Amino acid sequence: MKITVRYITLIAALITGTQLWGQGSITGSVIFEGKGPRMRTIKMGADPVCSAAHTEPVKSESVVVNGNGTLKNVLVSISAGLDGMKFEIPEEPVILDQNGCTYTPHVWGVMAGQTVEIRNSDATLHNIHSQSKQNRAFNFAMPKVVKKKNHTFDKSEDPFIIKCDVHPWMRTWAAVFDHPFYTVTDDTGKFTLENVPAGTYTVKAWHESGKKLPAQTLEVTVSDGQAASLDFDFTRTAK
Amino acid sequence: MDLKKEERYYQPDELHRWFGISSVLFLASIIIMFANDYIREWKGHQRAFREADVALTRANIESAAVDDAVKTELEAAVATAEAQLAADQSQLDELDSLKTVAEGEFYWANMNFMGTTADLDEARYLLEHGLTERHGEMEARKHFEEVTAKVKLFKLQSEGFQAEIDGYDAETTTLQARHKKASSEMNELLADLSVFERKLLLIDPEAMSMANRVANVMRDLPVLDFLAPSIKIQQIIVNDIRDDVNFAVVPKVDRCTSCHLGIDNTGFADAPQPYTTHPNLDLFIISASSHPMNEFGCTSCHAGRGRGTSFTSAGHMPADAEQAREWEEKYDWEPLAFWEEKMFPAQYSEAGCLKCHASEPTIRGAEKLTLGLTIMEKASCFGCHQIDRFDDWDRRGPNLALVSGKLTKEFAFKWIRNPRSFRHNTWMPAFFNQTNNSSAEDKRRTDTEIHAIVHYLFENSGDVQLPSTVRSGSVSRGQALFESVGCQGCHVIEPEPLAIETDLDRMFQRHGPNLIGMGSKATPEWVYTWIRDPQFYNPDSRMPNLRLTSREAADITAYLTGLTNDRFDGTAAPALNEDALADVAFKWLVKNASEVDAKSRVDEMDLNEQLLFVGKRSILHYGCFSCHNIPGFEDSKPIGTPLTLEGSKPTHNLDFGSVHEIEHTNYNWFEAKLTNPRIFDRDKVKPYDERLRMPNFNLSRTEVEAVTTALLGLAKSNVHADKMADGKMDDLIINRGMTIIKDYNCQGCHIINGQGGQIVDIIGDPNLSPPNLNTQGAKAKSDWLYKFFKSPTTIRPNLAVRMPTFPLADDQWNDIIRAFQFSAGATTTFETPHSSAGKTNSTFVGAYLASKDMGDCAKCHVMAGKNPTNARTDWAPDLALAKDRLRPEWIVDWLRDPQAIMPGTKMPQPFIPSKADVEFEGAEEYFPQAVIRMAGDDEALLESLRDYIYSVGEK
Ligand SMILES: [Cu+2]
Repeated sequence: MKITVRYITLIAALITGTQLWGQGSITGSVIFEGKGPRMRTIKMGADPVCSAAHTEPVKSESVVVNGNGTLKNVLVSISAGLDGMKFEIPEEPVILDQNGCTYTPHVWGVMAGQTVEIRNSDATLHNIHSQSKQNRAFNFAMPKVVKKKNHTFDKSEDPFIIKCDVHPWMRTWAAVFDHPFYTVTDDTGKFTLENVPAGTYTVKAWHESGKKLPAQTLEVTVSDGQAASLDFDFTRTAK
Repeated sequence: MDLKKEERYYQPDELHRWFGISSVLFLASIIIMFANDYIREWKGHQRAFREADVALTRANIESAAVDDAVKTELEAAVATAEAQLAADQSQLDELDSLKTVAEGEFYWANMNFMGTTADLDEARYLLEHGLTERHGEMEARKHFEEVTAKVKLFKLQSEGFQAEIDGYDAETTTLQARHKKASSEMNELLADLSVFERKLLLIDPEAMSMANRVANVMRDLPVLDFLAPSIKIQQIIVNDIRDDVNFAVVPKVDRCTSCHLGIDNTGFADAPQPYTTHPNLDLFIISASSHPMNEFGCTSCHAGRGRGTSFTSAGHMPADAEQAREWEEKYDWEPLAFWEEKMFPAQYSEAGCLKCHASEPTIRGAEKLTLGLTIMEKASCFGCHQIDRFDDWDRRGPNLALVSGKLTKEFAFKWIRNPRSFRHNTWMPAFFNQTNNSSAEDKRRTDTEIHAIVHYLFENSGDVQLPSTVRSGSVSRGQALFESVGCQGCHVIEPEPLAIETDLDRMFQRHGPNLIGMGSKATPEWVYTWIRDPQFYNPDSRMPNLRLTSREAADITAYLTGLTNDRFDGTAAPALNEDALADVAFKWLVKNASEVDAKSRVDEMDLNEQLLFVGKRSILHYGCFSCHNIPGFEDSKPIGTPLTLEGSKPTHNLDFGSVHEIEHTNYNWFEAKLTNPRIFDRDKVKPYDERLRMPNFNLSRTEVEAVTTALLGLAKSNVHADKMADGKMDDLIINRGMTIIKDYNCQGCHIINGQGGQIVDIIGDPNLSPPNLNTQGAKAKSDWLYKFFKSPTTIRPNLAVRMPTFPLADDQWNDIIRAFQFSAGATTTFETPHSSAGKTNSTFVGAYLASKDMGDCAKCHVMAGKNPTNARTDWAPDLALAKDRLRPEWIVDWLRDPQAIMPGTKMPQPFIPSKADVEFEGAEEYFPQAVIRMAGDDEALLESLRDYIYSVGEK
């Protein structure tokens, strides 16, 4: 039985051309000098369950500048250079939690075909409404008793909004990839793309502000097993 | 010898020689004849194609080929499994025999069980009887208990045997499983490969056996090839579509596939012609498409000579001069003589759709043809040219019966003289200052004619009651209203031409005029009156009534009349030249009278009479009444050539005049005519009134090509009713309603049958735009729809855009409602009565699913007049309207997946609990028992939600 499973995986790998990933990596940070816009406080009074979930005021996450002069929540991914390569879809799901009437994470990526586990950690009703264009848009209610729903996206797609119409402030940005080389900058503004095969790639850094902070791309060459580094600078030239 | 020779009148030797020579010549000519007959263009194509097909199949085999290592491993796995199976054979046999025995046992046990069950019924009867009769009760009870025990015993027995049988089956399956799995993996792995390998055997000489190879060569040899050649003419006979070959009407015979060999094979998409795959297999050629090749052939759509088997004789026509040159070089091509119905050049190929899709207002998949027909509607070609398709259509231009209340004479003059100097993209065409009437002498005449036309129109105009003043409005509020209430469903305000190509959506968006310069055209009083009630000024207008309040109308009036065209206002109309007027009047009169009589009649007329006379003659001459209602011309006949069968008109009947720089084909003539309607007067010397007078619509390249496609489509055809796309009653009903829908531009605001609704581009959010009317026929009850159309009420309180009131008659509304119903396949005449019967279990469950913790419908939906808690832009229709408005079946479909019916809707899929959802610790605290019981039965839950919705607002 075990042998057959191995065969099938092997055959599948050969037929679909799935490759074992490389050993290289791409690291760097997303720089943002200056203070950035003031973070708006979200008023959650409309739903007592939401306001009760927080002891401190909740700030909008639309632009989060870290203390070290970097930008949080920037989606960094390889946008070109992987033509013809296919990658295995991870079995572990991506988790999107509705907690305290906000989405965690605020920006995230997932591979086409990978499961997204949508959780409702709140004791209130949310509806989860995707604005995807390439993938079929969905919109369903998640009452407080429903703690988990699974969803998969079929096609790769640029970032789109997923929102809750019950709580208009709730927004999260999702992007679907056909490869595993994407990540989102954290509190230190750093990012690392691991297991990158040797090659020359275009790396894209995207922030939800759209026209105010337009996406940037940089070229990078990764040699086998080596770490390549590059930084993006989102400091606004026109203040 | 000599003697013999002398005995004859002829010389045998000489004769033999000549006989010899002539037989050699004869033989040679026979060989040449044979060769000439044998060597054909299409045979070369078939040989070349076969080579390409062999190469493709080989490539397919290669790509389907499996890695040897994998194959070996799998083969090993199969072999191991086989060996194992063989080793297990004795075990399997034993299982089989055990099973047979058990089956026998089961049979008996089961028979006993069923027999005693019958006995039990009897015993029960006796017992019951005993109980009522009060005697023999003891005995009967004893008997009953005995039989009950027996039934139980036999039941246990038969269940035991059944379990035994299942056990043997399971064991057998386990033993066979490994082999089954290994061989199915193997088969799957090799499935594609074997298909390609089989195909290769048939076509590849190298893959064939020697005998087949020889036979294959033999059967294609000259003379022998009458038997069963491998290289042969392919033909498709289409009985339902016939060709008129003069004095006979014969079924279509298309031999196109003799050379177009890859037409149905996706592998040849990038191959050179003639082997290329058809570019649209979803719609054509293959049997799964709606136009399979063996039912429709090729020339039914593309035209041409289907029986032709060479490039020229098939009637191919090049897309342009460059392609013509290329073909001459490559294929020795020339236009096929004596065959009118030549193939449509590639850019016009949609012309062929019209013969079967004649009554469809928009023909899906034939965008260019649809655009052409739509332009013909907009430009009102049918006003001057009789076209069956548009028979009974109303005039498209504004009604001029009350024109003096709308325009000034000055404006009318400047407008008629050059409409585009006022509005760059107007559909009013230009009659004057064209290539055949722009000399100084012509202008002297035409300016006079325009003065006379204006004079005639204003003299014959009735009076319209306009208010003396209009309350002052706010321009900014007016603009905001213009951009929100729905004016932009049909109108644009586009000061300068846009550099974008015309398409159907653009036509929808510009259904009404571009409203630039309104302040230079009409008074605020007129505009105000018009937008409040368009039919007051023009009873025939298709403009709907937006039910504007007096204040809203005043605001929009302020906005529109604030838009002026200063350049246009800055030019003045020239004064009337009275001498010229007398000249024109004389020229008309002298056509039917002597010079002296004509002169004296002109002299008899005063200025007013002369103007009216010339005005009337000019309106008749230019055909103004074809598009406009003009008093005195109500019954005038169209002045242009009928176009119903224009596509079939022989090219020699089209007058090219001295235009020789284009190839003389009908489509070149149409294109040239549409681009410059007066072009064929070039270098001609004609009296003014005999010159070409078709006006210039200033069509773009795209538009000219689209209209030419439509004209080519207006051709004779001989199609059996079965093949017509509108052969069925349903289609006719849909087409009739959709024609009204298109005429009144419902698709300017709504998506209907997948088309239109581009007002959403202006509004931005589909949730704030007019609703998508997908499935409308299945959705709304027809009684309700009719009432709503006659007197629209607010359904969606979140929309600023409003449904206007249309000036349609009842039968037109019925046509529209039926088109909706038939499009949605919901053709019932009577509605299913459905009402909630007070509080039931179903409404209870539904109410729970709609409650605050579950679906929270009241968050967005108005509930029987009670406003939702969300922001107004998120408000949704009052659920109390549902029972009158929506069909019960549709509500369930809608609740099941709202996105499927209205993509982008804010309406979420309601929470419909599955079994798993209610099977957690403490579920009873959350869910009522009734909900837990129904969980997992989606249909029942959706129906209960529907029943609840129907009960909203009931006491
Ligand atoms: Cu929410």
